[in-house]
Amino acid sequence: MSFNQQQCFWLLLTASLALQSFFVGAGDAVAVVLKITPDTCVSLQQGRTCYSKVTARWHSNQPLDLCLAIEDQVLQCWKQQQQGQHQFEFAGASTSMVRLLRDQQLLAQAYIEVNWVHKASRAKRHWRLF
Amino acid sequence: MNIRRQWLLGLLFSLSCGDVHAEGADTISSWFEDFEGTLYLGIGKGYHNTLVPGLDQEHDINQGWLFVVTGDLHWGNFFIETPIHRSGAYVYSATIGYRFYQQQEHSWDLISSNYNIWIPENKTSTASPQLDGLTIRNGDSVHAVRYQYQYQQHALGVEAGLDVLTHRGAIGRVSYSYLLPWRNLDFYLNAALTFEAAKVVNYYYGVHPDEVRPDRPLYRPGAGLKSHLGVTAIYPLAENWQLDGSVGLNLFSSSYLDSPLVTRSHEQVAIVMVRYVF
Repeated sequence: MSFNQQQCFWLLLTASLALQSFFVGAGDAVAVVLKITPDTCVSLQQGRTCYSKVTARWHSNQPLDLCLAIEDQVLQCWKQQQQGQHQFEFAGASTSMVRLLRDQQLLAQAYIEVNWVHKASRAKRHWRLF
Repeated sequence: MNIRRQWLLGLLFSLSCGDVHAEGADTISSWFEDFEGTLYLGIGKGYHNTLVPGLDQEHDINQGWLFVVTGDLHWGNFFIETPIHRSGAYVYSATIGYRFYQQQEHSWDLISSNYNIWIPENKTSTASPQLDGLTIRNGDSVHAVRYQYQYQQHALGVEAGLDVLTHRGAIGRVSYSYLLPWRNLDFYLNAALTFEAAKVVNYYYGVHPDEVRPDRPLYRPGAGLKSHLGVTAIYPLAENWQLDGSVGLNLFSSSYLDSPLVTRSHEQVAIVMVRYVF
């Protein structure tokens, strides 16, 4: 298959328009970044509730109405903001997901990982005085 | 290095060997898999102000770093424990035993442990002139029966036994610990009351006829009581790493305090350790 000069011109024009529309579209897309600090909580025993003061920070490329939630619990909402920060008390026995939602739509997510020093023992023993 | 410490290092070595052999021999791996419990490798600093100043155990703990292999290991009904945070900071002591009864919160054990560690310095020290010329007082090895009751945050222990190595005296102890969890921390409030027969107190704190000097009169005490009050805190640092520390006070009855060897009124103990948990 071969193209003449006119066909090449229209082909290049169509391709450049397609690329331009792609990049313009990408600029309009919502981009949200969520960061959790610290993102790890360590408890003494597997299965025990781990406590940690956690800070969630987010920013986006455009003003948004959104809410911060951990599992199913909403922690904080913002209206027409491009960035936000919220400190909360984490208390969980297993790894938990923190999400940024806009009208129930997931925009970003991060995890608070729960680790432990001692594995849950088969023996009925919760004393660690050794 | 005392016998208990060697025993602990030997235990660690034998566990390591078990791991190596386990790859090739099912019979060996099966006995190894029967081990339960926790093994710790720790480094830390300690402070122990002993009733008799200048003992080696005081120097060992107060100067330099403490490197310890500790644990709570079970193999069938046999076990070894190194309760360094209980009843008086004997860092390098251990309890080995056999559990012959266990039902819910109650357990009965036959145990062997050293309750007293006393190793006089071989050379005269200006810091401890009262020890000069004393005959050696060795650590004891008490075979005892122990009852333990653990319910929720309470742990009660009652034990009584006889030494078979040195003083041949009887020792009894009642101990209680209360676990107080707070956020990620565990606090243990500990108390112990130890009775030691006249043979025990006399062996360690008595002044025998051949040890008498102008400034060290003959002393032959009766039975004694000593108590321990302490607090331990354990904090999780990271996966498999913990920070733990204890502070405590050991108080003694007049049988101990009246000894010419004793120049202090009580003992203070403190330990801080970072430990890796296997």
